[in-house]
Amino acid sequence: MAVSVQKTDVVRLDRCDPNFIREVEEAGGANVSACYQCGTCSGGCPTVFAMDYTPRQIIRMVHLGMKDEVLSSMSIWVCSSCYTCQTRCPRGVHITDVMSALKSISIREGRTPANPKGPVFYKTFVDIVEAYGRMWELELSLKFTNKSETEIPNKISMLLRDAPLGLSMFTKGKLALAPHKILNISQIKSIYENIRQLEDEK
Amino acid sequence: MKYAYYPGCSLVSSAKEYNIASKTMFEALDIDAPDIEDWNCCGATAGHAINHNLSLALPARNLAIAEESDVNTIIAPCSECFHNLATVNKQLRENDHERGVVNSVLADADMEFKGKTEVRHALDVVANDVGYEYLRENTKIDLSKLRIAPYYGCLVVRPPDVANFDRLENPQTMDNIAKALGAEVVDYSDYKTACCGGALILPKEDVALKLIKNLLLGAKRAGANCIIVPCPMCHMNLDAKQQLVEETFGISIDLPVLYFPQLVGLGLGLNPEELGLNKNIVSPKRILDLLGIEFTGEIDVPGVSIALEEEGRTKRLVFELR
Repeated sequence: MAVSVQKTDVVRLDRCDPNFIREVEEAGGANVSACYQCGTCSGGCPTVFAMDYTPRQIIRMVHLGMKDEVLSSMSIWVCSSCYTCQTRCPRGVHITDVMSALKSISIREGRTPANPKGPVFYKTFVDIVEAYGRMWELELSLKFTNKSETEIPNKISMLLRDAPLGLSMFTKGKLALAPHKILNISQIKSIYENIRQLEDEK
Repeated sequence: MKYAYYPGCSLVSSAKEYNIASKTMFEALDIDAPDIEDWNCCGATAGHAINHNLSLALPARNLAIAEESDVNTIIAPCSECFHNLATVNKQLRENDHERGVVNSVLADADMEFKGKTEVRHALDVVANDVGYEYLRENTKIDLSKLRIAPYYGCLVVRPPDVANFDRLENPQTMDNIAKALGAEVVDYSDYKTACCGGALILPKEDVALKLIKNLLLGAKRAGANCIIVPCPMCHMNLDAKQQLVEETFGISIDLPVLYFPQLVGLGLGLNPEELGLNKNIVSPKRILDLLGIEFTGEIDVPGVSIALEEEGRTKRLVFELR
């Protein structure tokens, strides 16, 4: 019997990036090469229902250097960092850290993400921390809604939907109207500056 | 043992009641834990998603500040902060290369990570330093009418090389605390450490809402009249987003969600306002009535619904006061 292989199922090794696995490990994804594809990670993953590739598949694709496919996948933005996979992995692969590393490589390289709200959220978050040294939730939610919803009616309806909760939090004194800026904010700025320099030197 | 306290960003705003209750509880338990001076954000999940070194350096600054004093234990009530501080503490102690990188990044701030302190979750401190026996002996209020679903979430038990003060798949510390205080604990073992979606509630809301729905329905099915949590992210999702879950899936939940120090405080006979119980979104009045505790501090929030109605091409805003 002839086996029919669809073109899309073929891994084009000539288009794979052999350095990808090292890049992932350097970005914090330890032990990725130890994986023996048992699938325990995918079995325990609480968000696998919303993924296009299971965690096991993502790890294998990292091995093969399928950088474009991995970085354009939905899976990396659906990971909630719950550490179930990493905890249960019999080979000590830091799968959750691999997922974080993949997010950071995607953002660093300015890739088009499968979920554009992911990078918007994470970038807005660390920018606010750079400005004040702490999170300011009001600015985060307003900026996030503004940047992640592209259509104006959607921006408005999201803000309106969340307004009653915002009002309730405000009444209970849980919505800060001004940021808590730390005293030695210059230290935070120097930390961010030095990290940017390290990135540039790479 | 000399403690320091790291509140973290949530506890000074959206999770203010957790901060109030923790401080009141520690005072009542005679644990002195002053705030780490001029602490900064731990980076949460965003730090990891942006840059590995940033996710190490932000917690490391806090650890370095604590190390300058004679503190030997940092208490973090937020599971995410606990995870980040404890992970960095361990990683930088064990990995000379990463410690070198982080200390070079901190050098301009005139700081150095040495690895002299331990980082522990507030739940760990209450369960293991205070102990169940102390709680049992000092309980002043009969909590036996409470049927509690203890929800632990992810980061107080995972990954176990960092979070190792409780059982991994079926943790017991909050169960034992609640039982020591005389409350009933329902069987919630299927959900105790299942993920609530955490920060995904913003960038991937549909996924997070499904996870939250499962946890809330699980607690209902188990017969709970109250959920307790040790984490502000879990609380945001289970308490503040409870109404959104109800609307999204057309279900009714109506379950108060307490931070575990609020429960401990109630058991020790502290009054509800001192424990910030007037700040929870789902009102805990029902369970306080059940316990016969007077609760006058309830804040009346005007019920407002605001909607955008579309009719053909015209759109209008509709405000409704309840």
